Amino acid sequence: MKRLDFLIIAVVVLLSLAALIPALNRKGDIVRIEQDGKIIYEGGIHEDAIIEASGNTITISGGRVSITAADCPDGLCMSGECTSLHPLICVPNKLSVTIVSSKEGLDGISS
Amino acid sequence: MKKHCCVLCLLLLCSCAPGAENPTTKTLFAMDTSVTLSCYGANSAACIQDCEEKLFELDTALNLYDENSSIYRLNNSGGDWCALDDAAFSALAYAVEYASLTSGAFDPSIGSILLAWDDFSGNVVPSDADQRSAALLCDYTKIELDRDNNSVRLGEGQRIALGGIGKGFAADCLNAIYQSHGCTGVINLGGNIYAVGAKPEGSKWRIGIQSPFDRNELICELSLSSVSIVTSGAYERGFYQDGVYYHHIFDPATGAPANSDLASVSIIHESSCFADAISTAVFVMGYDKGLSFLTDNGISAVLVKTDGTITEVLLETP
Repeated sequence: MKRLDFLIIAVVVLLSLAALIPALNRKGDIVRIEQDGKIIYEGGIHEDAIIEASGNTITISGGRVSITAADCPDGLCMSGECTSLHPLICVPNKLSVTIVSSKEGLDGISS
Repeated sequence: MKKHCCVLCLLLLCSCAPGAENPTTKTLFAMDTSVTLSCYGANSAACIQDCEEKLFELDTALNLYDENSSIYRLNNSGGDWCALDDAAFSALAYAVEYASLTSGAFDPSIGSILLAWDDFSGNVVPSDADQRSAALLCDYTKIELDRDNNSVRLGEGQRIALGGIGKGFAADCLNAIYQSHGCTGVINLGGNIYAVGAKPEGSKWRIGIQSPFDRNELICELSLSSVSIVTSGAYERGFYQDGVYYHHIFDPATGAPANSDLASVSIIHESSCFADAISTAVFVMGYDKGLSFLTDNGISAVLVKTDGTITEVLLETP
């Protein structure tokens, strides 16, 4: 084999390994907040944050996620915490808060 | 040598491709709920687009509060014949069929009872007399269907509400769109699930059933493909007044929330519309009558009683 052959193989292997970096870097669950079809926030569940959406305030603290303020008529979205099994939804404000688990999980929950 | 080298490079690149096929997903709000569409296939983007358009069409068509819907016109037709659009007539025709099958435990003319409860605003608990009066108007046998002209005539004072079947009807429509595009995936309309086909690698979808006692827990997990699962339970929607909890699943016979010994009913069926109606009906029937109905009709289900007992009915072993 010529030196060029080794070089080509090395570059290809490095490129292949580079494609795996996003998967290896994924640490823990991700909190995703969408409003009216657009993702307005995405961050690790262990990154404390207060996110002001239109009509709702979402608090991420100590690995827990909840809607702590809302101007919707019934305030149903403020009951309970968000979990990977149970997203928080505010229908009047078209807001959804989901936890995308780093572990392979369910494809859906019937409720 | 160079040829072998190139082949090896190509193989390495392909084998290191990150992960399995990723779905196209979309979350939107329609039919008074959150809808999540997860779609696999070469045409997934076009499939999602078509689904979105169909959802907004049905959002109007089946909505008794929307003045643009034929259901609204029907409810205000004063007992005259009223032509409905295709979707509304189809949904109502299914609803009447299922009402007959369940001997009225599910009834699309439940709208009169809803009206007595101020459309379940949480502000009104009608008197026993008003509840009974509303229940008298709830009678699917008084609904006349003219299938040649997509027309309907209601009995005096009747009012149609398709909330008990709407999401299921929509899920069936979206399933048809997925199939027309050659796609598979999971359709989730506020907890009404349609598991379309199977995963790209051929395995079934993993679908959990939420516990009616703790929404962060599951009562079981099922492996499903090409089928819908719909769950009804008192915990889904309700309000307190003077310390009493009133849930949203009305008994057509009494005009009051069903006094059921069931906490939740999950129906598994290839028609989501059917599953939606039957889950409501079985909840109203209660455990004993509901279980007999399910076994007599060969319907797969998971029942959870208020005492925590779980019963699986005609479920396939994985």
